[in-house]
Amino acid sequence: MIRRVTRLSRINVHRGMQIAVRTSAIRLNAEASSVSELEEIDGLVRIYRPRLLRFVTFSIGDQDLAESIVQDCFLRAYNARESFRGDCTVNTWLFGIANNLIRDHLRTKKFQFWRKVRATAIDITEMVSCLPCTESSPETFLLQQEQAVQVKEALEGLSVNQRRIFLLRFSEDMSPQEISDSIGMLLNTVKTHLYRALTAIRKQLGELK
Amino acid sequence: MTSLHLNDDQFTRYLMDPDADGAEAAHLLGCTVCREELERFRSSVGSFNSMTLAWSERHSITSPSYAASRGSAEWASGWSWSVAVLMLLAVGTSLHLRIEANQVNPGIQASDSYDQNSEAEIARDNQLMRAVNLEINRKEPFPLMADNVPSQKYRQGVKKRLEVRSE
Repeated sequence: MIRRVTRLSRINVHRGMQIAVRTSAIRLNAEASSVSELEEIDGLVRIYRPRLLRFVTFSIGDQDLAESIVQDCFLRAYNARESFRGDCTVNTWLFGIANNLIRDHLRTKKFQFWRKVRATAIDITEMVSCLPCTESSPETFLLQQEQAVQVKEALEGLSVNQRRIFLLRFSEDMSPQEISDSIGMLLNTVKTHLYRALTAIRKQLGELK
Repeated sequence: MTSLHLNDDQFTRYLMDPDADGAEAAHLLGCTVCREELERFRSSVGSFNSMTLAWSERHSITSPSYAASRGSAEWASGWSWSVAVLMLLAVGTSLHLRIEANQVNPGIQASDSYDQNSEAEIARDNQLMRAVNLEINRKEPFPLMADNVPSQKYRQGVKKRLEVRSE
């Protein structure tokens, strides 16, 4: 009986080791693929640029500055590709870099000055024309346009931190914990910002009772 | 009945983290009104997301860095196709022109190509070139310069002018 238990426990240990080896192999493969993904800057830009540009543009409300930040983000990511450990996805890593750059720009006097001087450079008419035409009726399409504009206008009333967190949650589909890791903010602070942003946007959309 | 639905606070908490186990998720399973409200919010945010993503994709395509990255990725296929098309066009056009010219006056074409290299033609060309050189090198007197006018004619002219003045 004792022999059988010992044998079983040995088998379990062996299986456990096998699973551990497989897991580490899978992780190594994932890391290798992420690192190779970072090696090819063209592919990196092609895949992640549209989403990064959207995030940065609507976080800071300045298209020109957003373009510059996104460019800088890719440059930094490429230069620091050796330091990427594969703890998170490339997407989360890039958004982390973009968030750091946004934070740095928010602190500069130049950004504060230009924010006071000029309004946002995002052209709403051009943006509305970008809404992809679905197979729905014209009325539904118009309704979708109106909804999108309402959300955009509601976002403009939020603080930069609230906007960033709202976009990461609802456009990039990150969980509050992932947002907290990505932007280096406490989870409770992230939740507070998200709660306020949601309340403001639902108020703007006329959904609050 | 309204009190039976999710209040704003509960609704917002659910939106913040739908995966968290709570009474809100259970309520939404059975309440059509609250589910519709949730769908409305999701639809608005979804429209915003698709609109802004399409916008940023358009801007990414027009931006130089993105275009460069796309260009370098598709460089080989794009260039090879365009070169192939150009070569085909060039070959096709030259063939077409040649056939057309042969159909219009085949005899003239043949004699022309023969005459251009004949000795008589070369001699005629040389003669023409010599005539051109002669014309170019000939020194033409400038009509207003007194030095270029023959002295006798000049004197006669001066005399005539003096006579006219004295009269």
